[in-house]
Amino acid sequence: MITQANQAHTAAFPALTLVQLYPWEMSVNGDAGNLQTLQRRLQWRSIPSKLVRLHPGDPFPSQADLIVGGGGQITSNSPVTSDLLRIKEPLREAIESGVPALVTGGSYQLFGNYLQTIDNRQIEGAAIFNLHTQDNTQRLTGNVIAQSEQFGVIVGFENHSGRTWLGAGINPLARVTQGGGNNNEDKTEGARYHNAVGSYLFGPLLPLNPGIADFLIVKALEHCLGEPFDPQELTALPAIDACAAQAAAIVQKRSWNIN
Amino acid sequence: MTDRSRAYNNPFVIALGKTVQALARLRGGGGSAFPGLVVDKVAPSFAPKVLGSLPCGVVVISATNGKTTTTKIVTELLQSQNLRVLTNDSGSNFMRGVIAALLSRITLGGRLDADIAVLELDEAHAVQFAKRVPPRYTLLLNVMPDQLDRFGTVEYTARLLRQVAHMTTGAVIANREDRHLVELATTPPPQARLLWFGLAPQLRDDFIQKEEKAQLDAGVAILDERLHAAVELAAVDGSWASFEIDGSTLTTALTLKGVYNAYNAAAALALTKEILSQRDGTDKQEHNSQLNAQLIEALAQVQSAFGRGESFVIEGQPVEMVLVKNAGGFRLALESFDPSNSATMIVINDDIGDGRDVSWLFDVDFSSLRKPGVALVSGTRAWDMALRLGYDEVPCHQVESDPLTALDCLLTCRDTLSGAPQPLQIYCTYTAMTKLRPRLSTQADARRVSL
Repeated sequence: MITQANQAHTAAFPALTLVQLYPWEMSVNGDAGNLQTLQRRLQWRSIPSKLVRLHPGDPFPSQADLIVGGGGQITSNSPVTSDLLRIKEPLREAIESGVPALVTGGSYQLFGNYLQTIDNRQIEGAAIFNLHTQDNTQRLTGNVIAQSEQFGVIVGFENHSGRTWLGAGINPLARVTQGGGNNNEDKTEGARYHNAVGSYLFGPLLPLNPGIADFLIVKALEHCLGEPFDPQELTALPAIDACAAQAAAIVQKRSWNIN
Repeated sequence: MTDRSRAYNNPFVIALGKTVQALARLRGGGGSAFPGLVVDKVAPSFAPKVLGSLPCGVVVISATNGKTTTTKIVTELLQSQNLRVLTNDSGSNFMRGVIAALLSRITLGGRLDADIAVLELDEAHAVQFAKRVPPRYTLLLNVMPDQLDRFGTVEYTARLLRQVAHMTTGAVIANREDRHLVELATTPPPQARLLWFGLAPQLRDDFIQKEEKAQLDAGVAILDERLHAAVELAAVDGSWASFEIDGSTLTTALTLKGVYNAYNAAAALALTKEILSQRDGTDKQEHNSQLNAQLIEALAQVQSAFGRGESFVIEGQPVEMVLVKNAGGFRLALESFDPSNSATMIVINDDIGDGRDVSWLFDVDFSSLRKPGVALVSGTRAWDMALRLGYDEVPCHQVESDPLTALDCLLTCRDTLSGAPQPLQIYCTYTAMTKLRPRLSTQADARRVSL
């Protein structure tokens, strides 16, 4: 990875490079809202950014300050599955060096070691997160409320058939108080590893839980600047965040499960 | 055709069904589901036998968006050619609803006065139905993310529709511009002819989202050549449309509203032409152009199906109410109405009838509402809608969770400059619509079903 430590600061903020993994194949059910939330929150704070869309076959960009990957159906013969293995080394290096990332749904599963399908085939993942996923015939569907040490209450909507099990050295994003979470058994939801966040939650996740968005932005700035960045320096966005708080409160009131 | 043999020869079953239907109606219900359920339990062969006796067979129409209106267009086009059509226009689109429609039309002696059945079925019910009654014709309009809390993934939905295509015996007509349906070209149905309807090149940019188009083209590139479309939508502008059929361009005014209904009309034309040509067995050019002209004339008269959208006039103020239930439908609805000079309200509920997941709102681009703004957002998920508009930088003036209170506020909207009442645009999910409709109906000076 290129370090940005000695880059000249001509503007108040450096331009961040956002990388979207497989925008065509891995973006479902409002996932576009996660990327838009990051872009708008940067734009509203006058932090310049550019977006690199990584399609199968594209080289992994030389600069990446924030990585986003969404949901999608994973099959053993989908182009994404093999292409991810092609870029897994630079991707892993980036995550290990502290580049923040948000991976949801299918991308979250593919960041793990493997996905075991219903017919017992094993699809190899990028092995960035020490976790694996076992597919299941029963989907977990419904509103989710979860408690995170780092972010407080997290809400969203889950709709997945995979059961994900965290291994050693990786923490859950949160613990569910309502909903199935990673596997409907151990109460965990999502994963946290270095500055990467994995989650099963739709909603989408970032607009409903802006604290996670701002965490990713702070870490992206730190990566780009090569020095610590005080979160207090981020301009507050009270109007939109009040909307998010109201919406999240409603999700908590309407939190039955469909199954 | 008057002296046809019986469609079904167990008068007991028919009498039972009709009796249950009459009783259900007496009790005040619409009474479509229960009688169908009883008959299907008592005599599972009833529906397959009766439908199997239809001389022109059974047509299944399925899609994420546009089923109801397209079914109505096809029905009216066939009727204009003197076919007697049985259809499940009650909106009850599964086997029970189909049986209810049959019970209403069959005599106690087992005679059915219909030549063809045109049935609207949702993706899951279409497969179940086709396993019991293989359709002679299947029309597939589109596959878009919808009700993912029910279907899981859009790929799964697409697979359901391809299964229906593979069980079809006569002809499958599909949307050439839908990347999930184009896959039919590589695995064509074993028994049926495969035909396409599509968009002329100049329209593809307007209709298909940029990303979607690139993916579609990547998919089509695998095919040897661009698929030929039996009917192409060549131009559309508000109240008229042009279609490319058999090498000539036919233009007509449309009563149907919304550009996407013009595209549904292209689908209906392709299907109807195929049904008629299989019935008549003629393919003469002269006959064809005469027929095409007749169909276009009939198309001009078709009005939109009830329930998808309605227009009201309240104290001189025009009010348009449009049902939105998924991202694709919402996008098309936004493209179909000019938001300038009108006040907009969006009502999002999350009951079972609406779908409990509202994440899809982030797959809709609302930037066309940026300039006029949105007067009100409402519904159980009003704040999610407000949040969505916030990220699209669309001003939203008021959040009022109760739809009826919100409607009262909306009806007092006045143009800021002239102070005159503004035309009102309401986008709402299903249960919100059922809540708003009675209030709008009682207050309306005039009511007209439009979309």
